[in-house]
Amino acid sequence: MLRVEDLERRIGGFRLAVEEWCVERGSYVVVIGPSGSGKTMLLESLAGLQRPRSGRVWIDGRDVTHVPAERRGIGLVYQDCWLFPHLTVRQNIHFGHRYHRTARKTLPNADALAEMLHIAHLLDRRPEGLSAGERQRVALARALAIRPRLLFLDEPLGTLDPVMREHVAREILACHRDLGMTTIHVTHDHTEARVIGDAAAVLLAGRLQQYGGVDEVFNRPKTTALARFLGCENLVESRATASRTPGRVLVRAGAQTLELASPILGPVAVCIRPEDVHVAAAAAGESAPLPAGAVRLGEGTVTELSLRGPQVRVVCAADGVNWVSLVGRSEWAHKGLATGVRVALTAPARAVHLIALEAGPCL
Amino acid sequence: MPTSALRHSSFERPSAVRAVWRAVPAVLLIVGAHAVLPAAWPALTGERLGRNLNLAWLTANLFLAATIALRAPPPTRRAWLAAGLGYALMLALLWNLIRVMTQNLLLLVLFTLLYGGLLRHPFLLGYLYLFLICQRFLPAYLYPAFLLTAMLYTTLPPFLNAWRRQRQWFLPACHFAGLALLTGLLLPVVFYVLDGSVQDLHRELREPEVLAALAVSFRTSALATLVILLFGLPLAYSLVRVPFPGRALVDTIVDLPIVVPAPIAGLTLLSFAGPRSPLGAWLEGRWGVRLFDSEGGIILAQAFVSSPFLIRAAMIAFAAVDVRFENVARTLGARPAGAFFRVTLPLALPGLLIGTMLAWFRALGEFGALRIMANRPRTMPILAFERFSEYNQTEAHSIGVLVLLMCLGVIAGMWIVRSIPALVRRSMGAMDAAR
Repeated sequence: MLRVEDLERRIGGFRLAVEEWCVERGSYVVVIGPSGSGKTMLLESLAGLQRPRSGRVWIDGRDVTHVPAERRGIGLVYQDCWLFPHLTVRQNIHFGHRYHRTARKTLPNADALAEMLHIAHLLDRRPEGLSAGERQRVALARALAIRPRLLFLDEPLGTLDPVMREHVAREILACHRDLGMTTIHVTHDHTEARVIGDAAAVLLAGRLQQYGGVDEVFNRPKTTALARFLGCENLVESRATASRTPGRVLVRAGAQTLELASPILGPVAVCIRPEDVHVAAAAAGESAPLPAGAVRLGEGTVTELSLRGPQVRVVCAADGVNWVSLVGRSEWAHKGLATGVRVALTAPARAVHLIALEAGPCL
Repeated sequence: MPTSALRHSSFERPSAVRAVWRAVPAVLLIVGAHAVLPAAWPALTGERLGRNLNLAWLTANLFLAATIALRAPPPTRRAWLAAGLGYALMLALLWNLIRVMTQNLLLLVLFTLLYGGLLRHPFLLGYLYLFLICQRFLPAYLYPAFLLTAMLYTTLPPFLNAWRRQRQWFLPACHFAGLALLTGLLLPVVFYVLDGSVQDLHRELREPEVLAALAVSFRTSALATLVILLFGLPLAYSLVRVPFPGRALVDTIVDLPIVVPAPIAGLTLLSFAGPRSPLGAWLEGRWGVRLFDSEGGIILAQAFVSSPFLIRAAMIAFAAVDVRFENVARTLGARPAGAFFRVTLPLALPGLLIGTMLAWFRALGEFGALRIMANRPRTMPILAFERFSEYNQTEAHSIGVLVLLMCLGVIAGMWIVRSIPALVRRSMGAMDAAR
């Protein structure tokens, strides 16, 4: 659907680089990156609104590298909407119709789109009095009105309050499902990305560093920098050695030696997402039975507790390693976790991910 | 108070009895006033109460009575107090006031309107006091002084509140400093305009010399503005949108005509396009076009001196329209020109209108460059100057007033543009569409 090769764009000292990126037709891709990582620049470069220095872009198999923005068939919704203030909502939505004369008969009209996005009562108003959620829907309707081949959403939920965010996200997903439109959604919110996306691309410091399924990206980041950005707080530097069983390796984390299925040998970082680390109060002297497919990370004491909304972040020191775990509130209360309590730490083996460290430690 | 208004409109309005009762004091007032004044006047002043004066008195009282009788919501005590005070003051200062006012019936109507409004807005009483103060202390500059103090008084309340509630002095001080400057600018203008008479203006407007100069002025300045619009708007747009190399330099060159003194600009243009320059010779020989002492020359000089005003205003207006508006329009299928004409231009319109008016009147008022480059045909400023240098100040006065009135018209036009809600909303929306 969308293919990018060696795209490069520089502004001042900033460099945006995408070596190779292929987006499947009909998928919902989230592009995640911290502020200033070039997410908007990437979207605008792909949409033809900024001129990249080099590289090629294909849409639907057609090379659009030198096609102007107005003929790429890309719908764009910014975080701030940029609804035309001198036009009514209906005129805003119909803005693109005059440029698609031949297809106009088949394009969705304002009434249908407004119906779908629940903004039918706003059609004759001007944008100035609309709430953030309403603006976002109008902007979405305006972009959908020309039935784009690709839909770009630049932090569409960024300015919304949590309730409205839920609503609009649901409507965006419904549109995506109904229209089957390939969508690229830029965000810096991990939760949003994991909830809404099929696939995720991570942009760090102007480079597209990893692209894959959302779970794949979040559970198996390619580098420690990605792991840190994506919230894999448990990164333990170690060395992988061959195990006796073929296809498995041994790594030491703290006092424990873990046996894992991995092709990597040599210096590695052991990476476990905090929500995958299980904490249980340790019975003195003996170890509790290990659930199937889990590995033991060690025993230690809780050193820090902090409330994170519905979850509690627990830091445990075990044999010189600080393991971070996210525990549900009820679980936390039930298990009686408090600082100084001795706990046993385990994790499912499939949640333990090894990142190869090439040139020495980079933690 | 919306509740009292509501209550009143639903219950009290149908009651004719109440209206009659309320009319009683008004009727008494009129009868009393008209019984007392004609008798008191000669005693007070030693003069007979003239027909004019009597009429004025009647009008004022009738208006007041009507206001009292027909006012919908019952007035507050404060309003009554203010009105009573004003009325007493009016009586007390009758000597001074009515004399001034009877010379000018229009002023009287204005005054009675203001006075009638007292019952609704005690704030209006202030204008009355201002007028009296000006009349007492600055009789020679009565109207300009009243106009300016009224301006001050009108803009004052928010600043006064800031001072009263929070002892904020900085913003009020800024306001006063600004108003002092504006007063310095406006006082002579208002004085000059009010010094003229309608008869003089009327006479001037029938003189062929003046009419011709007016026609030349408007024609040339309109064409000059058109020329700047055609070339200046694209320049402003490209300066704002494209970061081309040397942009800062081009940006600075735009201001060149402001820096160059007008006569020097005239000399420059003369040596470049005058009859003895290669360009002038070629134009005249090949095309028969003269750029010296001709309308072409006037247009050239006017466009030269007034271009920065339009270009600057246009740059500010375009820069205020975020490029992302255009981006969205582009993705919806508009070509760059389409995005410009359907989005950027409408959003920048208020600023462009104001810039156009500024440039137009800067062109119309150009004198220095024209004096050297194209003295004939005469434009209004040249005519005013010639009247002054050939005859005297009084001969030039009416023309000056005429031009000033047109300028005030333009200022009023810009004011209107700035206060048309739809337009203001447009430019505000352009600036922060996000909020």
